[in-house]
Amino acid sequence: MRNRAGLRELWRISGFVYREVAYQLVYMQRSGSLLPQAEDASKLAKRATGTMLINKVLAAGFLSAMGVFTALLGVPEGGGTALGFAGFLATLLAFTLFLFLQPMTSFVSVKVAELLAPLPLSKSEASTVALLAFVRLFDVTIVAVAIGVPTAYAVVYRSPLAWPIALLGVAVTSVFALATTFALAYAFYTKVVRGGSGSAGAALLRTLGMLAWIFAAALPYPLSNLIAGLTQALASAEELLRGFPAGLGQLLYPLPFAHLLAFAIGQAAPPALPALAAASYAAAAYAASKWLVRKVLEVSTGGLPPALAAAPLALKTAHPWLAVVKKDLRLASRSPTHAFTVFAPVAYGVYMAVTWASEWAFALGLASLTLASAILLLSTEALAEQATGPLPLTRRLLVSSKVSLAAGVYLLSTGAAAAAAAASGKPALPLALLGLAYAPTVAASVIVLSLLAFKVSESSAPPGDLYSRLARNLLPLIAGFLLLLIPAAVYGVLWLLKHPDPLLPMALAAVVELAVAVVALAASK
Amino acid sequence: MSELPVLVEDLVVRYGSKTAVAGVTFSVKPGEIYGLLGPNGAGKSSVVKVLVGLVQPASGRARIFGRSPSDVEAKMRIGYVPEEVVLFDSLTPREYLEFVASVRRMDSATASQRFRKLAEAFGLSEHVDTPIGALSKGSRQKVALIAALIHEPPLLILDEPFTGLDVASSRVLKEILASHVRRGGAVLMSTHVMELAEKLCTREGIMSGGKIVSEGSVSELRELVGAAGLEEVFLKVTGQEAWGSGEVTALEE
Repeated sequence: MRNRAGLRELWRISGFVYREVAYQLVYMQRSGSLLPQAEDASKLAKRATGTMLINKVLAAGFLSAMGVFTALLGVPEGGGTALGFAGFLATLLAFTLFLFLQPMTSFVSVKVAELLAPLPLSKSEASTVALLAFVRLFDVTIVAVAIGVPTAYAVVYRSPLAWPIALLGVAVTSVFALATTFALAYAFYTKVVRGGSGSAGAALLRTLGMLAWIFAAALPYPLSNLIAGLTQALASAEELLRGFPAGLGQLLYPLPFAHLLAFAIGQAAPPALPALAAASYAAAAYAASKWLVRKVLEVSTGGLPPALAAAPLALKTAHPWLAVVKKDLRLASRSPTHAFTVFAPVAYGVYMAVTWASEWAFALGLASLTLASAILLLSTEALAEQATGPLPLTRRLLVSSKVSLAAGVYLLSTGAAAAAAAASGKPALPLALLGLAYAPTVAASVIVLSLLAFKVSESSAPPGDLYSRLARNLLPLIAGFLLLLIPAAVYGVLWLLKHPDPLLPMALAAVVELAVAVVALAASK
Repeated sequence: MSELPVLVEDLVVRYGSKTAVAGVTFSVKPGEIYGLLGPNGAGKSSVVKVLVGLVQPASGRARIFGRSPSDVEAKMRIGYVPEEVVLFDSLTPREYLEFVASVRRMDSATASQRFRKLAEAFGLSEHVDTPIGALSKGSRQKVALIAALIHEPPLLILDEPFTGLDVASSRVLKEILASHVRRGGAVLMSTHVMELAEKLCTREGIMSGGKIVSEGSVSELRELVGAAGLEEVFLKVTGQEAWGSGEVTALEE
């Protein structure tokens, strides 16, 4: 009879699951099926776990340093040491969401049950392995913060009581953060990635869900001065709620922990109300942790909800050109990597219009980003090369579809940027005119880059991820980006020569570029 | 004279310094199922990949209905199932098949009719709106099969098509292949499974070391080497006859 595996053995086995999660996270979404053919998969998996470890250690260092910083200096503009601790807890919450959203999404999608099925493990052992693999996603970071930050407060303020109170704050916050992150990852995988139905309404809902996921993953970026910013917000909220009965401001999470800490380090009187609130939050965190464990086990043992009931069996076909465009948009509505092709140029356009660096920074930046997106669009075919390579798709048709979509995204981004500029009281017309004048050159550069990439590709199938074969695709990439610069150079020279309206000749140069590119496209097979 | 569905002459395929296919010649006629058999690494999939335009040969000739495999007209007349089914995981089968049917220039009514029949035959109806990445291996194989069959091509090129299929779906596929050749269609099928090849194929080409070492109908091959069944023929012509028994004995010990 088989002996039960010990915890050490289960921890070792959980390493295999973790390695698969890391591999999926680091490589699969980025390069489809290309990488395993290019390199030894086990080497890649080892590199992926290495990357994950570095991320966890860096996050541990960064968050611990932030915690120690607030213990040593507080955040003066936010209202002192205790409020600084509340700001730190809010930062920990936001950062955990940012750091672990993608690993947890990968964990949900990896089908742990299928990985564990061939192993001689009992049901409870398999559950333990799944939980341990889940813990591996954040172990180093959370443990470092849970030890480092309370110790810093206890040592700096020479208060043994500060240690358990700070630990309680960190523990409750970590549980809230991990449960929220997992809930978002679960919703993203089940509603967006696995979201069925091809209807326009469902696609729109999926896209909104994806935007929420992308926004959460990018949360800390706009908060450049995170602790100070969050502390200010918390201080304002407490101030706002101070006039309410029963001191509601003290109950606002995570302020009760700050008030308890202030008492522990001798900066405040015994706080009955915050103590009660902190106990309530601790109870809520306990319930959240139970939910989290139950949900992790449910996902790991194949308990994802059943797919939607299928609609009548019918297909709506379209012209092949439109079919490629529709397929790319559908991929973009379910996969963040592909969503980049559509949302990044639009977001960039709006950001540039609002911050208003210069019209040229906007036009050149947007054109370059559109070209980079077009490269991703081109590589999507290679994701399923074995299946799509034998389809009767000509280069001409494929490139026409990609350039149409890229140009559409560029024009949409220009329109969104002009609208954002107008809404923020900035001159929208010059920006829109420059954007439109530049549109033909964007299309021309996408055509030329794509045709050259096909040319240097060894098979008749689409060229795949150009970045992963950079040496071979250097010429197409350089040619594409050089083409973008020609109209800008024309404009620059005419401006130096004091031409009264350099925009018109520049637009003409762009149209000539496009005409030459279209002729080259028409001549291709 | 109508062109042969498949014609391969002195085909050589190299990956760097490694020669995967070393001068293969065979043809597939209308109304026959040609089985390409061989051990792992014999070069079967490389031959298939040349025929669907995924790999360029180092030398020799491959023709699909008299045209180059990379010719769009040739691709229009092929239905292909790859050995390793990697589709767009983020698309649902319905979305993927809409894309395939559109690229094959089918109208909505015809595509829907074929889709309905095939999805029901393969028992995929309940999963047509579940993203492919969330489907089982067998269901993904069914999606690839439907994509290959939806436009009723005159030539089917199938690389290990029965992998992952359940019993009922295997039976459906066998019946579809039989009906396809009865109506004058042609099939080139690569497989490891001798029982399947023996039952389904009109002719077999047995590959070893990048070459066809024996070719003919099952009865011709049996006669040629004096063997009782295709498995025995296979082991004899690929030089693997003696291999295995000693290893099994060692395992038993």
